Amino acid sequence: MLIHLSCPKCAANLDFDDGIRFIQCEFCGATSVFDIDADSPNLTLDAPTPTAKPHGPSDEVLISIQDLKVHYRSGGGFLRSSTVVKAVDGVSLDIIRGETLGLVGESGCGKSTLGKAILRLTEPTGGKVLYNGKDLASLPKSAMREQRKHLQMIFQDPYASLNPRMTVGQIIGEPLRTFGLTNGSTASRVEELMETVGLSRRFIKRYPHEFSGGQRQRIGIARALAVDPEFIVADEPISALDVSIQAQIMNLMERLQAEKNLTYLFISHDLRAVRHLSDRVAVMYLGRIVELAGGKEIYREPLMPYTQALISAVPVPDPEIEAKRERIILTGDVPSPINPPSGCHFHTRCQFAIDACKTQVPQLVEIKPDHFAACIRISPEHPNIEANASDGLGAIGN
Amino acid sequence: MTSNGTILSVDGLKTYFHTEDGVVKAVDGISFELKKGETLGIVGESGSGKSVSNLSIMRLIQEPPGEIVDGKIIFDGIDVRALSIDDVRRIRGRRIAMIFQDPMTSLNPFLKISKQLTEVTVLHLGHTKQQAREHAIKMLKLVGISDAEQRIDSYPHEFSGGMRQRVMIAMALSCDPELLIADEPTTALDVTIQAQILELIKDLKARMGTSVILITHDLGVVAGMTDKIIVMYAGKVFEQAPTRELFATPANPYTKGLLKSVPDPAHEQGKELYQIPGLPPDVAHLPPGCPFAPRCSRAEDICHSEFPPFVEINADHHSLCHFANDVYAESKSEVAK
Repeated sequence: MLIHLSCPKCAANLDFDDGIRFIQCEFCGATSVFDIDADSPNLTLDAPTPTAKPHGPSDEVLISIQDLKVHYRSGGGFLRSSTVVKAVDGVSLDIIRGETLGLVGESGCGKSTLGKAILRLTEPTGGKVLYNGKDLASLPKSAMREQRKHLQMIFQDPYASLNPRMTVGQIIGEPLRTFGLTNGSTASRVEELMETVGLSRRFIKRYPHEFSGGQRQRIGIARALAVDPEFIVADEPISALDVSIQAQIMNLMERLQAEKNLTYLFISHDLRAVRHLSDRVAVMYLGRIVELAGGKEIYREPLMPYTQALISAVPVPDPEIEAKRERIILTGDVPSPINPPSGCHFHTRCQFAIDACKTQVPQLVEIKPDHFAACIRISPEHPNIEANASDGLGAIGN
Repeated sequence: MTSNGTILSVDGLKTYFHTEDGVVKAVDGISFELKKGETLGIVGESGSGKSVSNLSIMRLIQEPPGEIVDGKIIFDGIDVRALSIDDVRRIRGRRIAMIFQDPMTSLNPFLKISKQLTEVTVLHLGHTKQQAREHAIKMLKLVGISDAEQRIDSYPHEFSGGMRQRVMIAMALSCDPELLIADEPTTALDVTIQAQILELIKDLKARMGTSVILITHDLGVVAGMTDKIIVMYAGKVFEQAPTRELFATPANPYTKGLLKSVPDPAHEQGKELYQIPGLPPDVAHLPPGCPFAPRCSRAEDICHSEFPPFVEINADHHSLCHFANDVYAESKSEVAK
């Protein structure tokens, strides 16, 4: 049933379907909440989340992650105490509707766990994931299942994430059946999805082993798209693919985003791919976000020493540049998340570390507009760590 | 052959596999010369034959189903193909060493690092146990493993991926080889660790004068590491040129496509990435004509019917393409802009 109401901000007439909770005004762009429980239907302006957090040009927060934690118990047994692995340790992030948020970090930094915890494929042990006014982290299992219609995932390994005994048609059609979205024929919807991701509909009866890695990844994407989701977590979707195929999949993801107004959390260790796809980039180190900024900004001017080293380590496909540039070579490996260094986790590998770094846990602070970094040696007044170090400035951040 | 400082020369090497699906021409005619102290990069996608060509040089192809059908492999004046397996073993590990992609599967999980490292020098250099152990500790220090004296008695699983790759490099270099073949040595590693390992290989090369063959799919890695590059596709050499020339003025549409499809951090985000359409071919069922023709944007009728010639652009630069000279001229004019 169609409802007619006026926008509480600009009073423009809005028509929308019953059952929608958030309405964006076509004229002023304000988002309103439709109050279903009230006696007379009315719209109220969607109040901005109290903890104002960084976001880009579009203003509507699709998913708000607040102090999310995933702690695993590991080891332990008879007469042995277990240890706690803090895979994700208090992450707060807002994901804006329509953006691609890149999440980078080295292996073991918790980036995949964070992605899975948002979708509850791994149970969070603390914090909130707000989506459409609901806290996904505390929803009962059945209610969470219902939400999975809107939240989907593309996996890294296109070989392991498809059931080898199901045909492509069955694989892509499975979410449709699970969520009872099969009014009419599943087959025609599956064929449509296959065309969307660039697979010939002739392949509908084939099995995954008959496809190459890139084509399998397309099947995985089609399966994620089947339920018309709003938000997709893409966990290293191109890492297992050949270079020429990586470009194909990245272009496909961009095209789908534009067509369907998708929001991506793009998890990767490949900084070049992240740079190419993302509007904003979050850098993660041992369970914490250490820097967050616009894609362009973070590559042009990384503030936190870890981000600087990470970006400097990426080889550039140009021999002239490679011959000239000085690389920051980090010493040592990523420390174990079982027993992370105290204070700033990065202090063991940081060339700018001072004594205070060993004790003080740095907070994510807005150093420049929309550019956040967690480092006690920089502040909005003094954003350049190298200059600060040569000026002998100590712990000037929080 | 050794007179002009050539350490390895490969001429018309062909390695085929006889499978149920027919004969797979995994490597179908590759030729190159590697001088002492030089680094050669071999670039290609999976199935292009880049690994098989190097396994052939080491005579590590399992026969059957594989077979080195034709070609010459001359290492420091020795015809490797004519050697008996025992003689090959004497060269392998001592004069030619290899580092593989996956350091977890190429170390024996049941043996301590010390055992695996000393085995090589006891065998090849006739070390006593004590000498071998001291040498192993020295090698571990060389590749940047701190407190090597303690860590040498660890098992592989006690090391991280980057550390294991360092152990592999230490093992490969422990007999002071003249040629190091590194097959995707950093693919399984994080970028910061990759930077460490590449820096280490560069440094060791400078110090010991080792020649290196670096096999990778990452054009960024070869750009900074190599003197010359071979681009392989479907078992064939598609282009061969000095590194700078290959990046600046490629003469093959496949190379051009590869270079364009890598997102360049220096470029703006949001632009559509160039993509090579289609899939790498099934090497067992290659189309007639040029194997890249079905994916090539400039392919003409001749490309689909006739196998392309290996065109000499200049003495060091060759390209397998009917239109190599045209493509080269285009690249030149693009540079001029």
